Amino acid sequence: MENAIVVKDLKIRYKSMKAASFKQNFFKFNKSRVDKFEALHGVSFSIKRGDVVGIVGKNGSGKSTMLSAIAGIFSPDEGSIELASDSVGLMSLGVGFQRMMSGRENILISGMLLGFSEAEIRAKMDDIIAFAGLGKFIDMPVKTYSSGMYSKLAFAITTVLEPEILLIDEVLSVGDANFKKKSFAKIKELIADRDRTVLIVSHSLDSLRELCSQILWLHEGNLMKFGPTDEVLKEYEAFMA
Amino acid sequence: MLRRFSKDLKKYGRYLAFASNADLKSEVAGSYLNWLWWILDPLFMMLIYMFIMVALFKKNIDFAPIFVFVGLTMWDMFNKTVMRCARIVKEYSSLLKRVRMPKFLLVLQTMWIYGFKMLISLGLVAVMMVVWAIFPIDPAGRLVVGWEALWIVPVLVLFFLMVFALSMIVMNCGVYVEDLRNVLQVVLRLLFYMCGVFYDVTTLGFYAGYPWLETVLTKLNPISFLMISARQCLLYQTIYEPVWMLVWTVLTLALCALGIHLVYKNENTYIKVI
Repeated sequence: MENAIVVKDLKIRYKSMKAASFKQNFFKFNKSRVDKFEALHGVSFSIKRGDVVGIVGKNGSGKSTMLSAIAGIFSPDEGSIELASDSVGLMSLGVGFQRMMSGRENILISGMLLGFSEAEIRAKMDDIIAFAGLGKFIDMPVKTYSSGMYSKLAFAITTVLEPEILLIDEVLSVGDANFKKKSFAKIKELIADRDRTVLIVSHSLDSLRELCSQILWLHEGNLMKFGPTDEVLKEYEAFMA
Repeated sequence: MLRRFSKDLKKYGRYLAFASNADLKSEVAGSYLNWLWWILDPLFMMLIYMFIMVALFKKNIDFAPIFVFVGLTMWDMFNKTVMRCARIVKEYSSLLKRVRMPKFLLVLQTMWIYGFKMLISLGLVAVMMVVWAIFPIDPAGRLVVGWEALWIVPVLVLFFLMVFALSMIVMNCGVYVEDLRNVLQVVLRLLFYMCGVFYDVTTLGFYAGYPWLETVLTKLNPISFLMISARQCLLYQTIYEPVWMLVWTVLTLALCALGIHLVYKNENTYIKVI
């Protein structure tokens, strides 16, 4: 099976630009202009097409940074990321939602921001509306929605529009009890497609056990272990205990 | 670079239209007079500056209300767009952390919003020109609209390109320089008075001893130059300094290329700057 994601020696640094104010530049010449923090220190791995990989690690270990870099939201400072497909989606609830626009209009805006064409979104519009199950509310402004309704619509948009490489950051189920079941089942359905490569960041080890074939464990920006789910999670749990 | 720009523009064009219209909709939602504010706001501002010009400075200019209105309309669009772009990446940071999108869209979205309001104001200018052409309201007589008025098209195209170029550069610098907005406020205030928004910068009395100052204020200041060009073609049947127009066209295109280059080069690091 061909590689869907190849990450080589990936380093990502954040910069604190407070140091680049005029005051600092004029009065503190001898100090560094920019404070840097390295979130990932040279991580390498490859994932085959169709694999479902979970990413674990304590808070601040670089999990979300890794997903954002793979999604192309920011570029590596060093190293490289190679993807077999341009169709990459970071599952992000309610991205670009406009409160004054209707649910239907927000499906278009959010879908286009996620990189889909208007034609692709319109083709799946009915599926999204049916999955969200909002009835007549779909033509009302989003500002009138409850938080549950908002989540349902957002989840429907990101899951019904199916990218080839799906990146999930802690969005495994939303809404009320019924919708939670429905959304978890939808995630499983997406994952079941053997052509789709999925990366899931989650603190829910049970969900990862159920969904993932492999686990990538990050610790303070370093790759601790990458391998079969049961093996890595056993070590991870012992480490965190 | 330009190929990538046009590809992105094509891909995100519909998003741009939807998102900008949503912003416009949000702006008027909840206000009693709704979109009427887009007409009332420039009208009230024109009355204020007319008062300053006529009552305080004792100056009068042929077709003064239209003269002031044209200046205000162009200044407002330029000023608001550039100021907003200085902080726009921070304003949209929660969105930019979640999706990959070309950052020049933020500049175009801002231009769309203020450009739309500017077009409403220009519609009012057209109405005023018709009224001034039909009725002898002004001491200078009826307004004569010549073929030179068509020059407004290239003037506005160049104006939008100039606003785009400067906003792109400002957006890029605004990410890295925390207090750029404060500096811009001072610079733009100075530029406002150097542009002759509510007075005629071409006929100031003190140029006799300082001819270079006239060149600085009327030709080297691009916003002032474009404002004069717009007024001259609409109100006084004159095409103002076509050679300088050509010079500014070349410079503006170069600035556009620089702005696009800077943003494309740095946009994937914006979100890492915290």
